[in-house]
Amino acid sequence: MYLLLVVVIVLPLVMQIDLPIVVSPAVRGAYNAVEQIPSGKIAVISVIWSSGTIAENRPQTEALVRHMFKSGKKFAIVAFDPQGSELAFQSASAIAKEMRKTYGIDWVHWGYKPSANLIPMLQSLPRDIHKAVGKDYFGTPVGRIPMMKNIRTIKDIGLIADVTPSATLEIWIAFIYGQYRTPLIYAPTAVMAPEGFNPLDAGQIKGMLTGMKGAAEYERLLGRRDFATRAAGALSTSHLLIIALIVLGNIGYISSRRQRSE
Amino acid sequence: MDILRHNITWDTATIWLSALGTLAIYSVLYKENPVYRLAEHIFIGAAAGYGVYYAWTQILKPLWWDRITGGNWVWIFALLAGAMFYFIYSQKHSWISRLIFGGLLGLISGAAFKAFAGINMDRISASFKPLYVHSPNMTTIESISASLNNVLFVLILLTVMAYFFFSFEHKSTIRRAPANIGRWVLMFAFGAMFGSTVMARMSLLIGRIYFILHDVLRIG
Repeated sequence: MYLLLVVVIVLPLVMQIDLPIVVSPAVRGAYNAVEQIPSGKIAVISVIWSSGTIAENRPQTEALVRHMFKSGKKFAIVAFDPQGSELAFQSASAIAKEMRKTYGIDWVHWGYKPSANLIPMLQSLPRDIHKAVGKDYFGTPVGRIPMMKNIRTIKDIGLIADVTPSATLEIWIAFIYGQYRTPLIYAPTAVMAPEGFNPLDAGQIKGMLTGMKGAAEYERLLGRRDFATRAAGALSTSHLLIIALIVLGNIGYISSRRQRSE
Repeated sequence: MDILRHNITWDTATIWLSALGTLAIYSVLYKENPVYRLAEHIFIGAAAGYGVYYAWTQILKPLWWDRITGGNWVWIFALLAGAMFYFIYSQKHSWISRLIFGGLLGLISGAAFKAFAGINMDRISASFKPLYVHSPNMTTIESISASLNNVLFVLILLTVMAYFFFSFEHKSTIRRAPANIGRWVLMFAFGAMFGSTVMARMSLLIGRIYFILHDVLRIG
């Protein structure tokens, strides 16, 4: 059975079968939120993922980074996972090189902050970003970084993107959106996506990218054919196999029950 | 050998090491085996070691050690406060750990109270939806569709709340029927959540297979 699963995944990847990707309102909402970041304000991409969810969270991070570079929005990455810090830095650096963007001018990495420190940091960040963040990825005080000179309080942040496999959205809502109404977008792994529908419905988040599927939809809006788009076909065929197996399993179960009752 | 020396770069070696690691971990699908266990232990050890390295270089050294060695000796108290947690292992002096745990719990409780309003007030007010939606810039179909959505939302909200109403037994049909509907819609929700979980797991598998095909074998 595992072999069959591998076959239905490998075939669309090798044959490059692209199935249609329909952009959901949640992904369009996230895209529009990035477009609407006011000039003079920056976006913050919060990275809490590690290598375990790289297939879902990295394409989401890369799609957001690419969009911000493309639309001229400045952004800061802040990582609450040591692996995620490095992986997000590698991704953003590669895209920055490709799109000729400069560290410190167009983007910055606020470095790794321990996840246990998330709540205290979110309580101090709105009042004094320079003090709350301290030093960036390279150990430079953030106040000395050109794009951060005028970014001092939460009023200078136009959007926060939470890219995460964990239940961190509620923390951002509680301590940032709930008090300061800073727009939020949510990029969770698919397993965490159900947590996002209530805040989405209540308007607490502007949009959501559900796992790899959400990243593929975002890539479509960007007119790109990166990893998530290439993998979307394999995701669909693997789902078809699972559905077929569930149907077969139920047919087997019902027929064996009938045989027993006879 | 010269060809090998020239072609095997650091990147290639990393990619092949990653590929071997991936295959070793997936070998557990066949059965539990020493190769899988070795790869698992290497991964856990490497991740833990990396975490310690990162915690020291990015947090403890710049924010604590450098401050102390720079003359700001007040930061020594952070070490004392942190050390208090470890008294939990001493039967005689465990009261010392309770002091710091108590302080921490107080801070967390305060933050949780503050968080409650921030999270829930918007959601409560958003759950009061109009059952008939109409505006001049909406077509009739859009208006019907939005109204139906809201009716469905309110119906599900009320029936699910009825299911979790345990103050009296659901004996009469009037009380039992909404609770039953609530139970059914909860099952639909759990099914959808399970579907999301399947999608997440498939995505991770696709990620690894794509890596083997694209980065290692250069196919696709």
